[in-house]
Formats: sequence, structure tokens, C-alpha cells
Amino acid sequence: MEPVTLATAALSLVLVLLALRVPIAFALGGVACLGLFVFFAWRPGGEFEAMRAIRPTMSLIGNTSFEFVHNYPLSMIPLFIGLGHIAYHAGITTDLYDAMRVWLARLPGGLAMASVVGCGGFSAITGSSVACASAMGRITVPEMLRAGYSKELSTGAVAAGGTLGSLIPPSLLFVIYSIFTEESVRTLFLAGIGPGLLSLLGFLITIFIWAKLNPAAAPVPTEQELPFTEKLRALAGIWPAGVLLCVIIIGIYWGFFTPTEAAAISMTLALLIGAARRRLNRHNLFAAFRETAIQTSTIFLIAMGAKIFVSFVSLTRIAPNLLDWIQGTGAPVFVVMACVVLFYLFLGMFLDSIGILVLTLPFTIPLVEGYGLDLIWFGVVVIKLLEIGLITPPVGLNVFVIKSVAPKTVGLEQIFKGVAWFLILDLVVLLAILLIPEISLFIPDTAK
Amino acid sequence: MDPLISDEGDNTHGTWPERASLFLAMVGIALLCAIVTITVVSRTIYRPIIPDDVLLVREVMVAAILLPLAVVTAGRTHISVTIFTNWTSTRTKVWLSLLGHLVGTAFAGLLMFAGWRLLKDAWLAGEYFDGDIYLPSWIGYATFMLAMLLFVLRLLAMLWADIRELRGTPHAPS
Repeated sequence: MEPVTLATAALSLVLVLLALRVPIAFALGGVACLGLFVFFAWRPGGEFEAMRAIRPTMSLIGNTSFEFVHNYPLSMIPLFIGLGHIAYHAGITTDLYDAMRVWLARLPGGLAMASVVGCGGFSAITGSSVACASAMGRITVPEMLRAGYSKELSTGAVAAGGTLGSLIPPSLLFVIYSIFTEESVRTLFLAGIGPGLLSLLGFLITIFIWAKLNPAAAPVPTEQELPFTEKLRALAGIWPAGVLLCVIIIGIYWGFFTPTEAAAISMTLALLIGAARRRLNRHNLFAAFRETAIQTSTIFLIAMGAKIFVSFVSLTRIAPNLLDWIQGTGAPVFVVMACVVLFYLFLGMFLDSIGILVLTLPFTIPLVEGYGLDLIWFGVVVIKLLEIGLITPPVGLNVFVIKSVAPKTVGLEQIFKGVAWFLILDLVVLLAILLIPEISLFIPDTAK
Repeated sequence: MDPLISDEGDNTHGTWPERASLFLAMVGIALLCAIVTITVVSRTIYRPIIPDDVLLVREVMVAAILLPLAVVTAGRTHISVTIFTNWTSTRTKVWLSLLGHLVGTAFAGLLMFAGWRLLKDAWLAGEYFDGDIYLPSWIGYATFMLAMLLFVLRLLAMLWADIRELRGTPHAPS
């Protein structure tokens, strides 16, 4: 069987299985195993010989999957996930929001701004957008609604703010991207800082403009402002988050730690801080580790299935063929990039971020490399696109998360309406990242 | 009673072997954190504390990542795309769940078989990793095998549960 035909059939089968609710890991891994078997058993122009395929197929499946989990650098994934759960249970992430609320409450849209800044800080520690939206949504949405904020602004701000976890380091999506592109995680983390902060700033400006244009959507609290000493006390409460941020971002930037070491050191610090402040007990520590183990396992199984799928796709050489075909059409690079962007935006409407990443990278990476584009910059573009996918209808995962934690009076359409403002800003930031690669590459370049 | 279907209220935790394997994975994550942190400290004081730290982390990773798979499956927490089938009837959803578990069982079964071959080869050859502690390589393969065995058993239990539901026999979905 022709390898390219086989790869096309396999990819189609994966898409069908995904549409039929088969878990992403099973669809990718199962089809990849079948594809490998057929590839080895049915050589082009030859007869189908099943026995010939067993040994190479089993060796490839066994070695690829075992070596994937028997891996030192990837230990940063459970460690960063663990850090996020421990920081949450220790109240480190929510302290950040409390401090921002005290300082920003009297600005137009101040509570929404505090939520977004809280989300930025939360994601800088946890690396997960959905966890960020879920945890912050529970606290901030009811509070904003109590303060008279519109449902659209209250929910839209947190749903959009939650997406910051994808770009601001440590981002799990960047780690997964690095697995498939073999790019440095450290460089990817550093490249995400600029666009992440730009998105954060953009969200704050969006809220400010929204509150100015429609003051009824974000009334300024009527109660008396807290004394300055109280404000300082609230600010002092965020030192644990500051310490963790320094360890992760400055430690990696200055080369004191590798990302794996930064993950372990910051997780240890979060444990020590939580214990010292008596916020961690046996019960919530157990919950944090249990959630970490389950989340890690879920993500790794998908990545493992994808890794086998990538091995299969590489053998069939479909990606170089696709590249030759696209280059043969004479399409200029900006048209190709525009198609890639639209493709990711489209997939983002239906699929989950990790699924999109593992499903598309085997095809888009050779394409981007073939056109001589920077893979670090492309990584930032892709992660930003996935971030946008988290809030686009009909499957904006963060929107559903906010719906599940918001009061029952808030409808899904109100959240999507609120998110629309932030989507416009997101598209502007995306355009800036696409047109000015230095936004992504400036920090990694200075760290070299 | 089906030994793989928990009789407890909170079914997401699975049976006792699954809960034990989840607990081992949790200990594994704590160990990962401890080993890497101690290695950074030992580098700072120029005195190695843990021998073969990189190798130990790699071995612990196998347990930390794969041992919870059965519990993840029991809790039906694998990520899937539901938008295209949300409108279908409950019965159709059970059929789709059956399909998912069937594909999963095939995939996990192949992984288990591949793991068994790696374990057998390593055991027969008496392979070990070069380093200070000469760790035998079969330990990692055995952990991989055990995790996959639990995973396959859980998937078979889920398949059985789906079939029973389609046949109209009430059961405790886990």
C-alpha cells in the first residue's frame, strides 16, 4: 500500500473516531498502531504479510511509548501541575487576587481588572488555563456580580483572563509543543512572556474602555476606601506568589535552573510555604497530589498516543509530500501562514487545545520548517491561537468552565457576549505577534 | 460482584488495586520533586547526595505517569470531543462509549504486549543501567507492564459495563 494513501486513510480514521467521542489518546494511539502494522505488513507493490509486521510494529510501539515516559526533562510536567494544585490549596494564588482587588477596586472596571491580573498571576504559577478559569471564576464572578457588575463583563473577563495560562510560563502547552518540535522549553517559556504580558495589558485596556463607555456595567464601589496600611498589608500577602514567580521566570531566564529544576524547587517552596502558613493539611495535600497524578496521567496518555502517531506519520513521509505540493503551488509564505492561522482558529472552535496540538504538529512543523520560519515564534503563534480557541464558540472550554462555576442566573450566551470584546483584542494581539516576531523573540534573545 | 467495579459511593477512585496504584503514583510525584530538589541543593554545595539521580527520576516517572491510568479510566476522565454527539440519545452515547473502550482496549493491549516483550528481553539478558547503583532495567519495564495490565483490566470492565447497560441490566458505572 502506498504510504501516503495509508497516512491519509489513518488521519481520516482518527478524525472520524474523534467525532465519535473516542478519547483523543485512544484514537491517536489505536490508529497509529494499526497504521504501523499495515505499513510494515503491506509494502508498496508487495503482498500483505502479517507475520512480517509483528516484530517491527511491537518494537516501535514498545520503545516509543516506554522511552517517552522514561524521560528526565518531561518530569517537569507532573511537577508544574503539582505546583499549581499545591499553590491553589495553599491559597497562594487567591491571595494574589485579594491584593489586586484591594488596590484596583476603585478604578473603572477595577474588580474585573483585579480578576484578570489575578488570572495572570495564577497562570504564571499553575500553567493551566482551565484550572485558572475554574479557580478564579469561583471566587471573582460572584463577587463582581455582588458589586453590580454586568454578567457579561464579570464572566467574560475571567473566561478571557483564564486563557493567559497558555502563554505565560510555565505553560503545559509549550512543554507539549517542545516534545514534538525538539525546541528548548526554556526558550519557549521565555518567548511566551512578551506576548503573555501584551495580552494581559490588552485585557486591562479592554476592561477600562468597556467601563468608560458603559459605566453601568462596572459601577465603582460606594463603600469607603481601605486605609493605606490595610492596602500595604494586602500587598504583603502576595510574597509567596512573588517568590514562586521569581524562581520560575528569573531562575530560568538567568540560567540558575533548568525548567525541570525550577518546577521541583518551586513545588518544594510552595509545600514549605503552605505548611509554614498552616494552610496545607493532610486532607488538601492528599487532594493536591491525587489531582496532580490524575491530570498528569491523562495528559501523558494523549502525548504518548500522539508520539506513536508521529512515528507512523514520519515513516509514511506524508508531511514532506504535503510540503512539496504546497511549495509547488507557488503560494507565498504569508498566504501559507494565513491558511495555517485560519486552520487553527477553525479547529479551536471544536477541539480541545492538547488535541489540536498533537494532531496538527506532525503536519505543520515540516511546513513551517520548509518555509524557513522560526519554530519558537511559530510556537508562540500556535499557543496564542489555542488560547483564542478556549473562548471561541461553539466549544470555548473556558466559557463552559465559567458557566459551571458562575451563579445559575448567568446564561451561556451572556458569557460568549462578554468574551466577544476580549476576542477582538486577542485578534489584535495575534496580528501583532504575527507581524512583529520580536515581541516573542526579544526576551529569549537577551537571555542567550 | 465484578471485582473491577468498586462497591463504594465514589466510583472514580476504582478498586483497591487501582487506588493503591494511584497512591504509588502520588508518592512517585513527591519523590520526583524530592530527588530533583536535592540534586539542585547538592550541586550548590558541590557534594553529590543522590547517586544516579537522572536515572532514578526516569524510573520513577514510569510509575508516576502510568499507574493512575486505571483510575483515570474508571472516572471516565479521558479527554474526548463531545460536541458532535451531544445531541444523540443516551443509548447512542453508550454505544459510542463502547466504541471508545474497544479502541482503548486494543491500544492498551498492544502497549501491554509490547511492554511484556521489553520486560522479557531485559530479564533474559540481565540488562542494567550503567551508573553508581547498577539499577536493573527490568524494574521500569515491570512497572510499565503492571500499569498497562491494570489499565487493560479496567478497560475490559468498562466494556462489560457498557454491554450490560445496552442489554438493559442495571450496573454501577465506574
